[in-house]
Amino acid sequence: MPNKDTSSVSDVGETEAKSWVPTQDFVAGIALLALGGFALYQSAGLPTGSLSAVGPGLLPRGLAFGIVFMGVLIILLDFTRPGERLGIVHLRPPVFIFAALMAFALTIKPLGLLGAVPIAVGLAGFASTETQWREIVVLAAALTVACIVVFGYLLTLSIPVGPSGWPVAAFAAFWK
Amino acid sequence: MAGGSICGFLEMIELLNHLVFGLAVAVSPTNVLLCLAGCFLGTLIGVLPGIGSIATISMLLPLTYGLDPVGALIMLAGIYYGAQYGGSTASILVNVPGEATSIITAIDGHQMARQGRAGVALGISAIGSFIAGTISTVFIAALAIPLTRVALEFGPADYFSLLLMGVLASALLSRGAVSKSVAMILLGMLLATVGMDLETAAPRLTLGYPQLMEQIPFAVLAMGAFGLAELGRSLETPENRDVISRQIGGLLPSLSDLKQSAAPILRGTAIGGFLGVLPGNGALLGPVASYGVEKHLAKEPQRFGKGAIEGVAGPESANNAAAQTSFIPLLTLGVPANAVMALMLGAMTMNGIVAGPQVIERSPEFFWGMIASMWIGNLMLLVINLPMIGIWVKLLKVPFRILMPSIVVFCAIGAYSMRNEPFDVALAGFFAVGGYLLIKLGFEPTPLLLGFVIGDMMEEKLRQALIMSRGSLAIFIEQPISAGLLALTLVLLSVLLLPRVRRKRDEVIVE
Repeated sequence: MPNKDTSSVSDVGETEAKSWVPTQDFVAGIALLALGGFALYQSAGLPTGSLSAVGPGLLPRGLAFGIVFMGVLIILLDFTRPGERLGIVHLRPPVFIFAALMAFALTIKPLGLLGAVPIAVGLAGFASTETQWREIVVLAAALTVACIVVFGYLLTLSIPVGPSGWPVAAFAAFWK
Repeated sequence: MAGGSICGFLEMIELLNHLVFGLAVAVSPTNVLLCLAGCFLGTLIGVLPGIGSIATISMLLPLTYGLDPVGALIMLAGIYYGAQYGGSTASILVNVPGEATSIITAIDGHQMARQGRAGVALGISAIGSFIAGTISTVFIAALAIPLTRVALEFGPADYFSLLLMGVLASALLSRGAVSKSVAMILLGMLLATVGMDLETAAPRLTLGYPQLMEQIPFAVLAMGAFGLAELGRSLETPENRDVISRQIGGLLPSLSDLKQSAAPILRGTAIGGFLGVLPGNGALLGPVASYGVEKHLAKEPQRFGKGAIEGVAGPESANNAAAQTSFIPLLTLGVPANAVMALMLGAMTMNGIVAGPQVIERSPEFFWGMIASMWIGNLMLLVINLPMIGIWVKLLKVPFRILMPSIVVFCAIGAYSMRNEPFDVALAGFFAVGGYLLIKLGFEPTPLLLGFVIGDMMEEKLRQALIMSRGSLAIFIEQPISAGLLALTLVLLSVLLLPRVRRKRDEVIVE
């Protein structure tokens, strides 16, 4: 549950006492190891070639090794000095922004702006703890109308306005 | 002696010719409209507290997609200036700077606002920015041709070394730990390799998604990792805006205000213009340096921090001059000096322009049009922002909880409409979460973007150089320009990593 009034700066002081909270740099190093390792695994099948005939795999693998190396270095450096503890990560904003975009991606083709915009606005509303739901309903309605008018009719982006087969044949060309 | 002055005169005429040619391109009705729209939208988003100019540009990037290259870049430049000015407006009126470069303005600007002189602070910052912009535009135009001539001598190996120097210098000069910056550059380069290999057509790191064959779309990465991630971060702290409720007051500075500001504006222009060319956070240092100089030169330094107009005029001019001159390495060498320029480079590539010294020869209308539009953009800011200040003030009072869902929806539509591809919207969401987590782990997203943009070029140059040398790495030392650049990089690296210099660096940059 994200807190309303603790910023991550003050969290650092509180968590200092609990020694089991890892340092920021330690977690950062582990994250780099994971990213680099994943890239190495994914690029394992690509031929690296030689210096006179560079293959497609040379750069991705080289860079992935570099990232792993930096991860190890950051972890080692972290052991040599007292580092900042990891602050509290508020998951609520990024999770709901992600959910809003995901929902938009999934609904835009089948439902058009008419369906995708209110769903995205509703989900994005959860990202803030200060959201007032009456406002969100009004906002969703206003944004849906505005987006349909501006993006669908005025700028005529080839973006579906409503569910397939709606509203008129004039836009049929845009629905694929 | 006489020959020299005639030569100089002819060069002046040539310079003027180029600028007039550029103006002719830039003042076409469409381009002026695009510049105006860019300035307006840039200010609109940039004025929102907590959203810096990089985030603003990232989120507005899709708008330029599909325009012709000249128009796209002109609009983007407008967005950039608008975002910068919006940041200053926010810092003067709310004391929550939209971006790092505005922190300095907030010190005295917000005090002026509290004294009922917000109008004057905004006015002098617009006037100072305009003067700085005008001077640096001429400066860019004058430097462009000689620098381009130098750059045309560069072979692939030289370019590779230049890019290496640029990228390392920006890692050393950016905020946060150097090791983390380097890791972000590498990660950015790794993301740039995703997609089909240009020479062998082999898919690289696409995880099986056909949508990733053509590379990760630059605008989607920028929008997610910068725009949306920053949006998420600003949601963490509860809203606490102290929008000035006093009268804004008249916008026009009095004669004595102008007299006090004239010298700081000129000094700020010189300082910012010089620092802006440097890689990394050079542009960020401009306002800091200018503020320090003005405080040092002032007869009564104790007035600073209590609403001294010099403390607004100098840094704002430095800020704008740096914003302009940081275009120099990009336009002449094709090397972005900082994150904003990396965005510009990405946008150029997105719109089909290969940045570098050949631009000036191959598409002069683009080059000179772009330079002239910088000046028009500055003029536009003066024209649209001062009369519209009331709108910005109202906008500052709209609660973030209403703005946030709107921004998310506009980003989604922007990401979708570039390729009519729902996958891109999901990808933006993915990068938003990734960018947010990286910020939480103390990584700066800026070097990642720089790495992403430069990575492509570096791989291409590396491969070209190795083909030329038949696989011998010695080419990087045998070519004189490349060897010189590498030596310079080594010197830079060792000087900046000296413990004493490093401590100093931390002091200056953390400031």
